[in-house]
Amino acid sequence: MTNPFQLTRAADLDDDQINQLWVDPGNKLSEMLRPSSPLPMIILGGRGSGKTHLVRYHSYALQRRVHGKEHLLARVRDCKYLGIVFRCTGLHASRFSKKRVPEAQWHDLFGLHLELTLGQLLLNTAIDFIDDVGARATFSEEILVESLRGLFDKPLGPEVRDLNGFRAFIQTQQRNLDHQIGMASFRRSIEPPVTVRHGQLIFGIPQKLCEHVPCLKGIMFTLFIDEYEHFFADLQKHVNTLIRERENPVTFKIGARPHGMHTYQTWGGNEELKQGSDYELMNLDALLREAKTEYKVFALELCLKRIRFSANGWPAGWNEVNAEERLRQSFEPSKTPEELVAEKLKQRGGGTAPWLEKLEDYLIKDLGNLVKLGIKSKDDVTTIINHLRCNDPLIEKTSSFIFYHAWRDRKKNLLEAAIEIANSAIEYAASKDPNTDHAKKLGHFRDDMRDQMLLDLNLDRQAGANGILSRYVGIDAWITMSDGIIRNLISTLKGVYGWALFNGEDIYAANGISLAAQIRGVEEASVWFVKDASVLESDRGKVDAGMRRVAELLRQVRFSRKPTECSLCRFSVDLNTLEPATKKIIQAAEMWSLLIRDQDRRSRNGGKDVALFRVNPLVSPSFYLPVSARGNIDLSAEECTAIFDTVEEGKFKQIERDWVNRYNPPFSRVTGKRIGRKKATGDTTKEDDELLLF
Amino acid sequence: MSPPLSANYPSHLATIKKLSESAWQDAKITRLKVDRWLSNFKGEATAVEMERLHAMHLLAQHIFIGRREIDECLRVLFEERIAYPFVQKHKDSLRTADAVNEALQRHLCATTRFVGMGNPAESGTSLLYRFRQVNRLPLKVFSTPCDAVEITADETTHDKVAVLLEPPELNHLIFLDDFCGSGTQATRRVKKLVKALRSHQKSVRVSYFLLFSTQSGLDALESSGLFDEVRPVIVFDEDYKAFCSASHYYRSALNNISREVAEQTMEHYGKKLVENPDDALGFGECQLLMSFEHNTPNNTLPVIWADQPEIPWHAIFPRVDKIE
Repeated sequence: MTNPFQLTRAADLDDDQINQLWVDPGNKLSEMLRPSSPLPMIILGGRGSGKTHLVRYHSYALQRRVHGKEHLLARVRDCKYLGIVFRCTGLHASRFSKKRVPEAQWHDLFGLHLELTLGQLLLNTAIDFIDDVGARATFSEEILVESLRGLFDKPLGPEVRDLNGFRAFIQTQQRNLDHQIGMASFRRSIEPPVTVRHGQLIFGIPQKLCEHVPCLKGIMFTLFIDEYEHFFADLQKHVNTLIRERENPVTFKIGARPHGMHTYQTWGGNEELKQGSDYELMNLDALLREAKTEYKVFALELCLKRIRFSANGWPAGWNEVNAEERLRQSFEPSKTPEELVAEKLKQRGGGTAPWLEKLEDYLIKDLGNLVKLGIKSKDDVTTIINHLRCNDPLIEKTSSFIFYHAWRDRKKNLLEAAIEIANSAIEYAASKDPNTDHAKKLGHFRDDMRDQMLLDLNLDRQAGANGILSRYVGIDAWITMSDGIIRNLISTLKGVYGWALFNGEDIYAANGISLAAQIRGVEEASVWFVKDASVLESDRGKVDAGMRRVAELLRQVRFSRKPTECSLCRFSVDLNTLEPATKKIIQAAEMWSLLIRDQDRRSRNGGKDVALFRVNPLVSPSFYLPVSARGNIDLSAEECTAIFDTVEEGKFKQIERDWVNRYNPPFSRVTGKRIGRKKATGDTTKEDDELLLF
Repeated sequence: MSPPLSANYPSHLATIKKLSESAWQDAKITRLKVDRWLSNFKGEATAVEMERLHAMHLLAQHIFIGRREIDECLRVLFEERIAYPFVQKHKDSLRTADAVNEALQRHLCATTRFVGMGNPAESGTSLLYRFRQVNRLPLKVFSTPCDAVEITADETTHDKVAVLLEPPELNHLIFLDDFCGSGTQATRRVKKLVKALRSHQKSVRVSYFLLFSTQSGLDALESSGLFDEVRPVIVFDEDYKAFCSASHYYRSALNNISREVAEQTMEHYGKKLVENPDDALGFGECQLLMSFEHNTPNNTLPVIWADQPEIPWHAIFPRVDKIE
């Protein structure tokens, strides 16, 4: 058995695999791509979002494979386009700079190289198509080549007599140019072997072909330019100019990372590309994230396709109808947190649960300050604890949570509060009454309470399948964690199946993939994801450190005794208040998808719009964060600087203490000054008032 | 069900798993095999957990030479030792790649023979087939030592030796082998033939090309005087001896890992696995940690490869011993 998810990058798949592993439920992606539409498109998507697979699937190389020669002509006429893929990495754009050659010369040389490269690609694809459909005899090659020769500024030699000769000529010019570029360090100047006006080959070759070759009439030449982020701004201007000055029958579909469009400017008047008129935008990340149901369908179909491809057909006992069910069943299910907690409590041999032990400790330590709240002695503490006891651990835990709220609010006698909480617990246990405090709290904080119980009982990472990491297993959890980025799902499954195969497990049998394999696979994917990103960014270490700190801060707040936000894995900040260096780090984290920007929201303080970021769910297992985002904390500019743009840990530690002290007993004391939180005029919260008192 | 033995060593296990998916692919190492191998260590030399920790530490650094690596070494061997020198010599007269290739093939057929070291059924000899495939060489340039160099009694005198060459213009005899540990095996095998060649066919150049060698083995071969050149692709220097003071397996400070404890443990179990106690850490005291796709040399620590029915030991990279 082989790992169906071994290959994770579309760039590593061969054409056959691209075709076999293509998934597009309802043809929606292809429809959105509109390959034959003359209006160019910019496709923005993070790493692993599927851009490369999308563009490669629509290339001619795949079209001919999918349709076969017999039906090729009819299908291409039906689709009305020929797809040509060009990866920007292939041009080695970094060659076009420095080496004592003036920048202006480099611009011209790049433009020429682009003409020759893309011109060749267009011509080669057309020739392949003509030969594939046997259309060489349907036109006069002599007349065609005569018109093609006119595309160059200088007359060409007599050796360029036919299409193959013309193709060879362009190839030779490109090689000569490559050679000269390679020698630039020694020669200081470069003399281009030919000259051709901007766009002359890129538009001219398809135009002449369509004019003279019957089978190409009405066919769009769609240039898929992938990995656009590898071109720096000045080079992008060339392509942007081509987009702006586009001529039929050529169009462009540009694939880039979210921050990969370094400029929308063009040469000539420095005009910018205008969305809507010069191009349309496809935000692949956002599309897949927002269409949660469709993405889930897509993800499951892709997994099943991979399995079928890897196993050379359905595994034994699987078929079209039951495959999805079999897939789910192949993963050993985890115990529920309640089951794990019950088992652990039983092992402890009864006694007070750790969440109540902690509460007792806190109350006793703060006894001197609780007189006004009705607690005068240790006996009172014992009374409170006894009121809060319950046979159901989750209800008991929730009781302690509600009690912490009462303590924090300091509104009532805590002994009375404990009695009220006990009544609510009884009511909830009996009838699940939605009007009880317990129902209201559990409606929001259920998952947080469960996870807190696990950690209170030391069922952390070390506990393996019996610990908190068991919350991150199962295909549905991984689909959610991948958050619309299909490669994240594939990487997770690669780890899971890799461990299962290494363990000698039957990956297609019911419960075949053990919890241990799933947990190790998820951990591996989480570590890989962060490492993979941090290698790529130029502020080496800062993004990594910043992510670690913000995730750690969220974790601390989430597991505090009285978090105010449920399912906490987000923070908000007013970007306009940030120092440029801090903003740059946050944007780098967003660019590498470590942080995901959600829709901006209103700040709780001051009512301004603030940017909302959430930690990528794939990072969650490393910090025990939830995979579904609900709550967030507001960070000030200074706090963000301390988190993202400060080398020494001291400042961050202070912020962490500040936040942690807000949500842990005794609540009323803050160690160190609060950093950066300005009191918005006339809009303080009660919480801020009380904290500022100390 | 108790957890697998290797579960106690998660970071080493993660490394081994990665290796099993990549460099060790041909070896098909599974967790089951790792656990079985770990179960060999029962706490006889020191505390059982310490023994297993040290065993995992060593295993995670084991060198496995798979098929791809062997093919690449065979290609490098041919290109660097035969093809490139030929091209350098004739580059002024041969202008195209095709012309070079043709001339080289003609030259090899006329003057060179590749032969295996040892018995045709041994690993060194089986390399010839792969060497031919990888480098696309004609069958003609391969032979056996006895066919290439025939030592007979002189027909007229009957008491003198005649050494006949096939082809008669043979001037380069190349022995091909996979591995040299101590060098004793190679010298023993070819001594008679090479001595005869030296006496009666002095113009024949004798080379020994091999993929891997220890430094001490290389020194022994070179000082034997039997070969005009000895060319390994990769040499394992002293640092590759698992427990020497400069061993690169223990260079960085590691929690609870001690070279001395490891040596003591592996030697203790090694003594039970081999006939000669001097070989407890590998034949010739080589203390190697390596295996090939086709076999594990006995210069490697016996705890890695010992796999005979009479000895209760689960090998992780088994060795198929020669039946002499």
